[in-house]
Amino acid sequence: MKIITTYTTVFLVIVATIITLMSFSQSPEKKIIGQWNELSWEYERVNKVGDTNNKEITDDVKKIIGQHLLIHEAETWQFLSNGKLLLKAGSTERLVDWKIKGRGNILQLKYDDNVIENYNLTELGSNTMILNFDSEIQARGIAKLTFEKS
Amino acid sequence: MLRKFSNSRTLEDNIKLGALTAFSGGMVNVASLLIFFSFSSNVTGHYAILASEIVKGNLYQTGIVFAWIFLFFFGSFLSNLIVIHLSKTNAYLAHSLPLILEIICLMSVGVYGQFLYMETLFETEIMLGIMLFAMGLQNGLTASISNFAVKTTHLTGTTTDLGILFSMFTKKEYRENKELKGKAKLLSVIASAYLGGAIIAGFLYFHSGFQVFYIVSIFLTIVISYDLYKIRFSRYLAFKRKNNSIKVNTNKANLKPSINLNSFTQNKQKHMQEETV
Repeated sequence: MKIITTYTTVFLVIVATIITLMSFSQSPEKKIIGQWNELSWEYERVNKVGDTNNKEITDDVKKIIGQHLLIHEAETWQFLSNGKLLLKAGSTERLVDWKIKGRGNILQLKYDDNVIENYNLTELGSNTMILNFDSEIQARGIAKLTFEKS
Repeated sequence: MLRKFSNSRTLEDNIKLGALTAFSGGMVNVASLLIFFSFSSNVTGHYAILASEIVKGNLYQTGIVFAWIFLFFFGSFLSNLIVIHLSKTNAYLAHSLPLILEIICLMSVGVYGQFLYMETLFETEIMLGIMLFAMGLQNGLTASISNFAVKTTHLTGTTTDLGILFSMFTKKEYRENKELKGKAKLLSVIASAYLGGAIIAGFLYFHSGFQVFYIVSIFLTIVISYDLYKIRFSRYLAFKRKNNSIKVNTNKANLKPSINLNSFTQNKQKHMQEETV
């Protein structure tokens, strides 16, 4: 009987710890809602030959990225609570679907023509959001987009 | 595959169990990676992620990853709990119950994913948790009944052991050791089956989406049914043998030397008395 009580207590403590941890912070799905302005666009992995500090993209990398990404022309991203993302670039606007996957570390965008783009949601603070391209699951992407909440 | 326990298991039993469960483990892991962007069978990565989330101060993600690790642990705990407490009553039931629970978990993920999944983060987290629990159940069962020889949801230990074994095989004395050769064979089968399952799941996912979990469940059902068939078949054979046998009278004459000796003595005495008279 004593052993059952001990095991039950330990399991309950673990469950309570998990619930407490989660209740102290907001889900990334709620945190992301709002308008985000693009601050910077830099590359963390460059097509380097010699200069490792150079974050300027080469034509080769641009070409590769251009094949896979469609949304990077937008300057403002407005995440709506109904699962829609309004991308604004000057006077043009585009509406796409957004989802958060994994443990809240993947931002998935879906276009009307069923094109899907995945981004690593590297950081999601109350004012800053950092996205990395190329959704290699256990590696950081090659390019970094930094946003500020407005 | 499931009836025998620990040291009474043969290499063949372990190979069959290892191949089928590793195949399903590989399928589940890749399916979860493609659908949910997170692994569901190898926990080592989750420990690393847990540490990084703690460092970043992301409490929500810390809680989620901790819950996933705990669910894998709890699956293994429950699996072995069933095995050690029910084995004496019914070994087959004790060994197949964790797999039945695993099938229920995977089927529920498949059905929910196919018909109800709205792709919210909460649903993703819950379904990943269920899959980690299912993988814990499977790994706990295979490790428990095979005396820790078969572990089929991750390949870190398997790859390490294979590396060690193949380095040992550079010496003739180890090359000729049947036990080591058997172990290498078992581990190679597990690694190949896991990889095979992962590749097939990758292809299947693009055609059938969540239905891939039904296929995994079919594989696990084969594991359970195989032993059930074996049990029924051996019972049938035993029954047939009993019916077809020629009846031989095995009743031995009930000789009781003491009684016979007594009666002999009594008869002899009686005879002597008569003679005397």
